[in-house]
Amino acid sequence: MHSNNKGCRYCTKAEIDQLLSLNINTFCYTVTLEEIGMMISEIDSDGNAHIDLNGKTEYFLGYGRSWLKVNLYFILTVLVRRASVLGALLYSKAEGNGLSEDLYLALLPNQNTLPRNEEDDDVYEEVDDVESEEQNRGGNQLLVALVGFSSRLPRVRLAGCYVVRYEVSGFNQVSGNRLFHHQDMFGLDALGCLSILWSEKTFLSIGGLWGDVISVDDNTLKSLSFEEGRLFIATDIMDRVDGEVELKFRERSIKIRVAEEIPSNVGMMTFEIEIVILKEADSGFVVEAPLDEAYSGRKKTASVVETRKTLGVARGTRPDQEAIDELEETSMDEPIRDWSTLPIELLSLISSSLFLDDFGRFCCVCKKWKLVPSLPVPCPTQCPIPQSQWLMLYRGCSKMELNFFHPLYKDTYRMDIPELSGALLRCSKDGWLLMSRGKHSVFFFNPFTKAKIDLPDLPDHHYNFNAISFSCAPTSSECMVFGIYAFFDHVRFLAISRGEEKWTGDHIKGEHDFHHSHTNPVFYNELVYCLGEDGTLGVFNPKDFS
Amino acid sequence: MASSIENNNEKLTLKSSDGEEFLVEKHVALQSTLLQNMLDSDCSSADVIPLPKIDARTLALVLGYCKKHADASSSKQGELNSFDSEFLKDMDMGALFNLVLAANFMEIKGLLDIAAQKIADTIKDKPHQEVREIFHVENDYTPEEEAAVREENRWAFEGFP
Repeated sequence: MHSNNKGCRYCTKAEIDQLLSLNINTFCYTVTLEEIGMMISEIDSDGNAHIDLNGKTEYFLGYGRSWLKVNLYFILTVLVRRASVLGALLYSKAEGNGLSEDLYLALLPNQNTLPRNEEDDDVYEEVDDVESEEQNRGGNQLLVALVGFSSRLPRVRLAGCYVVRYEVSGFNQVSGNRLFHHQDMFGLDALGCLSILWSEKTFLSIGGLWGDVISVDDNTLKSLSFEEGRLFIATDIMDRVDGEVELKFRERSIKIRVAEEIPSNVGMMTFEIEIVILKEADSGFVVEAPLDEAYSGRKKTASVVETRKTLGVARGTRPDQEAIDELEETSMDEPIRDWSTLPIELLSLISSSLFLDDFGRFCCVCKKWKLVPSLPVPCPTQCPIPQSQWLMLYRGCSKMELNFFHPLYKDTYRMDIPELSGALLRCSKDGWLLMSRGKHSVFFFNPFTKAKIDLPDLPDHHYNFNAISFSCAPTSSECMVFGIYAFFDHVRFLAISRGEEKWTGDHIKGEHDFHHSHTNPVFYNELVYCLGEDGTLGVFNPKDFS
Repeated sequence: MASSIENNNEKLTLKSSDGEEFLVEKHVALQSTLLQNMLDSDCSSADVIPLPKIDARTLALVLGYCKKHADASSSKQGELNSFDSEFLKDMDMGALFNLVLAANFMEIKGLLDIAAQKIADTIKDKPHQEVREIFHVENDYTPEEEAAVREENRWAFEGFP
């Protein structure tokens, strides 16, 4: 905090969790120091900055603007570099030591994976121990800290990084939530290559000087070492590649040796990058042309490589899979294709695997795509009537969602329909649902058009129907609704036809010995057939009582 | 077809648009309905069959597919299925574009189907703006037209801005 004279504090547990939970993996490698600065949305009176990460998460760090840029960047960098890091972060402004981009990182080994400092002043004696522990560390977790660093401190080397045993005297004195003993803390100096330069962007720039970059080795991006990286490029340079690149960042200039790793018998160049510290140089982050003139201006196109590779395939009696795999990988710089020029029959074939949401968006991409003939199975929104092939799942009155499933497609589509809240699905036909709500309300609903047709309320004394059905879509003049229910030993039934303002009903007495089942009545030839529980069949003529 | 069985070891030479020649066993070539028709109608008297619409790289891919399917015949369907799914995995859109055109031209139904399915899978569950980017399709709708199409397919945009 600003008010802390020691100039440092620990992250709280919540802050750490928050930082670790951020999905910063993707943007970190493209972000620049300046961009980090731009993400600061506010600096409050305590000197804490509020930072907008990924446009949504607010996080703050202390120490004011200039520190913060650096701190945050390195936190992000370290986190990205060590996806497995689980532990605490802490950061500090070292006393009297102004921070610059030469900030140093500290590794805090988890538990006892690094040797305890025995108050030993001879740092160099520790080198071997540190290295071997680092090698043995394997999957052990590291804790990471950011600390200020004084260049006067001696250095040791740890797995490709320069590590300084660093007395962080301030930390012990911070009261409260102290997490570590200072003996456990090592400063990790990223001098091998500035970690800010150790990014995919840089590698792409480097690789681009010799060819088209196919990929940057995953292990390179995650590597603990800042000294050696690997990337794959496609190139038409027949000679063995061996050259140098100069990386510049601020006052630093870093010379990188680029060499072909293995003979290119498979047509792909592998590069090993060795980073050597050179000298102070101009500011600015630029990748300059290779120092060796022989390689300048040799950027080649992927197609040249492809041709050569394909020849290899053609000469054999059969295309071998390995060569094909390579060909696939050399395709990064294919000329851009305009997919709107695809023949309509192909677009049609493609769109036949899309429906509902996906097909709608397909149409929205461009005019040509919209001209693609419609689906073999019509989308219910476009063609609401003959969708009888659609299966609909309605989970009942507490849920408002309808799930649609078509046997030809594996996906299920869902609609949320608030209008159906509290309603029971009774019957469906021709794209219409017959719903009931409460004891008296019955209505039609079309989920595709969202049309709702209310029927007159049921008479007061009637209970809910056990079974109800309708003859045809309510938009038809022939439409009739027929419901049946049991009332003591009576079987009662009600019907309403389109145009009528109230339900009409009748009943049959128990002596008919008909006990209807809960199967919905079936309309056929103007008669209504109701299946009885014991296999009997009740036949009603609605005209008799209407 | 009968002749193809008799001359199973016969080889054909296919020539891509950029002049590369591919030596292909006949039963591999027969995966293509186009080539099959040409052979049946005895168009194969020429030494080299030119395929002016297909570049060498794409042709190599196509022939890799044909080779696998011709050799495996119908015996190992499971293996073929996994080959098919691996075949297009990680393929970039430019290559896929060429491939689907080539499969269409050479009339290789199996390849055409999996390529179209792959493209459809790429489109699924993505906002149309993103689809445009992926496929390098220029938006030729005016804002009003686009709004109209969206309205027409209103259901499709629930959940997307």
